[in-house]
Amino acid sequence: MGAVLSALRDRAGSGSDAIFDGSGGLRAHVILMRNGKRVKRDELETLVLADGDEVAIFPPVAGG
Amino acid sequence: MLLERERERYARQILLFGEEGQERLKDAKVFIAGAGGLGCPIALYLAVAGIGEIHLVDQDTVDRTNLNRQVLHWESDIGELKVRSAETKLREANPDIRIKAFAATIDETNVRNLVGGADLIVDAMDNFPTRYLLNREALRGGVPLIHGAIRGFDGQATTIIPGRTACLECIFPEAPPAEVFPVVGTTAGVIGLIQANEAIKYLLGKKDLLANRLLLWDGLTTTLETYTVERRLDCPACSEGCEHAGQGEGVRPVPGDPWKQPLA
Repeated sequence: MGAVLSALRDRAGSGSDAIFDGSGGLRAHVILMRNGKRVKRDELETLVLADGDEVAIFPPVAGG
Repeated sequence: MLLERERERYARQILLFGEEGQERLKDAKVFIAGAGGLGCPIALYLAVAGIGEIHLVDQDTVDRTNLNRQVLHWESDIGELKVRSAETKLREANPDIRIKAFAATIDETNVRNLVGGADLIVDAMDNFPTRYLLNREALRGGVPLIHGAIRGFDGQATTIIPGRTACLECIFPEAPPAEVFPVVGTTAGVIGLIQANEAIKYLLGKKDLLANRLLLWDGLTTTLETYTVERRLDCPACSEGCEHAGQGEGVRPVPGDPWKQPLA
């Protein structure tokens, strides 16, 4: 999972601000799910993804 | 009982769900928190659908910067309380329903009174602190909460049934940062109408709500997806034994208990 996030950070370039903070960590409010289940922040680096796993990552919005 | 003119007004949807369904809508009391970008389309469509009683709460007055998306407020309403402006339009749209408008800021001291007696809460707020407050009141009272939020071309929605689905704090443990958010009116329309549609479905006892599903709308790519979400065992709002979690009985029965007795 850590590698996926790292690749995403590189690919997003300047657009990564919505997801990552200045030090490259996930912003606190960003949702990260693997196969519909929330991934806890302390599992980020150790979680191993399998073929076919679906990872969803998005910053929720707050406006109305 | 429906009046003759109501049978006529709602003829096209009575074809869909019958007079029994229409009477359920007429018997319903829906609380809409906010009369802004989301609240305007939600209130308008629930009003013309014949929801018998709509309670609308908003503290603000109409500003010119609201007019790109808050479609019940028009140029001539600038400076007017949003709830008054909305109430006027809604009464004209459908004189057969009751509308109660409150100019108030929802906070810990009044949320219980404001929501009291509603069959359903629709979240049309623009900030997460107030949403968390509504979520906890929904859990406490066993009243379903239909969440929606927007920013730019993006939006999200989910339907929370206390005791049965993930709650707002299960799904969003951390509030997104507060900001003056960019937004186009169509985003508010899309998400607001998804919420209004969920409200109608819930009141009719339809299955397949956005229960335990988070809907994400991306207006730039015109894609809409739903993701399964689940309750967090350690959720500070709804986990077992938590003071806000109500009596563990799940949702409070509403007239006819529609969610338990779906229409055919």
